[in-house]
Amino acid sequence: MKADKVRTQQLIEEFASSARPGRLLPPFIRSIAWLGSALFFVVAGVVMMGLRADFLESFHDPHFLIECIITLGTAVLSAAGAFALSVPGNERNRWTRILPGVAVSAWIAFLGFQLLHSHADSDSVVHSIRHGYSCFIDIVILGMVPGIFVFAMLRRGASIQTGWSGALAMLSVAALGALGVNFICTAANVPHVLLWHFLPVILVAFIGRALGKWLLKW
Amino acid sequence: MTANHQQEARLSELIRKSQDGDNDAYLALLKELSVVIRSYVGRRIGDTSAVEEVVQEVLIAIHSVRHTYHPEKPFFPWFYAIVRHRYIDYLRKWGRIYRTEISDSAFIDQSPAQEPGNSSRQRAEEAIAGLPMRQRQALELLKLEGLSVREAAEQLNTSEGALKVMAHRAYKTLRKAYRKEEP
Repeated sequence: MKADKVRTQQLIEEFASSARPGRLLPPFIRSIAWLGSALFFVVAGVVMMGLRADFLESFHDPHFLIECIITLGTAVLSAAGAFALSVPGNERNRWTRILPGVAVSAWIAFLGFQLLHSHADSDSVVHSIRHGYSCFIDIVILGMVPGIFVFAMLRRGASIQTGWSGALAMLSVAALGALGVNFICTAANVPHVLLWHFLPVILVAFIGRALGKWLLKW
Repeated sequence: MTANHQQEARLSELIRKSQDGDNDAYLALLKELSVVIRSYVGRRIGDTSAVEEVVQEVLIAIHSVRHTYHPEKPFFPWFYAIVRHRYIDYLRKWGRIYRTEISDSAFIDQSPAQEPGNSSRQRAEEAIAGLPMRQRQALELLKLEGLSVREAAEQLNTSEGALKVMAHRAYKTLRKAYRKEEP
């Protein structure tokens, strides 16, 4: 017992003599910094992949605008949650998980509402569902660089709930990708958006959960 | 202001100074925290040497993530989140090791190595094989491959302090194993 305490004392002295100054910026600032850079990459990606021809007209469509706002809201709230969770003690604040959940619920509710009121002809729906996988691939491509950045930044922190951190980070990444895809994809029918824009985001968030448990361990 | 609040304010001030590069403040912080951790863990674990092991684990964790604390936030939620996290890790780890050791010892009981004429080399190999993976790796890198502490720490992607602790625990386990086997 005495030897163990001596060892603890040695450890303390070792740490104190080798400590270097340093402090992370608050999670809110880090999430803003990441969102700014991620948006830059997404916009650059969308421009390179080719903006949809009617993107200026699409701004006059309230449904399109609402969907973009909800998607962006999901990205912002989940990024804020992921970065907040990278500081020990913040996992006790349930809002870090509730707010992104509210955003995802709003997205589901909006798509559900549109689905009930959509009048697209069945042929075009079937076609856009069958050939919509490129939107999934675009979401992944657009989210690649921001995804690497977010994990690099989160690894500087110390998340207690690594699964949640990873899931929220990837939810944010995929939501930004889906936002970008809205400006590439011209298929406006709801089943396509649900299957190839929304569900990939949820799938990526689940993958993020596993990645978080693996990559954010400390 | 209660004593608890005063202590929290003092610890918050010490970690703020240490984040600014004041190593004396850091020394004072770690010394005070070790007492708090020992008391917290001691109430939950009966085994006194295990308590010290958890204290060291928590100190290593605090050292590696101290930059995540923000001085404008209360200190104790941050601190106790780390203590609980490491304490739960410890419980999980020992739960796993306990299960593994039972199966290993059952295997060793049936192996020829336990019969008369067993060489000391075999005994050493068995004892090393029974160590937790990270401790075994630390021991092998330092003693068999002859790496320096820094080189071994880099290979295991850990700090020098953490590596020393791992090696120390490995020696302790081996010493215990040998004492048990001595007639």
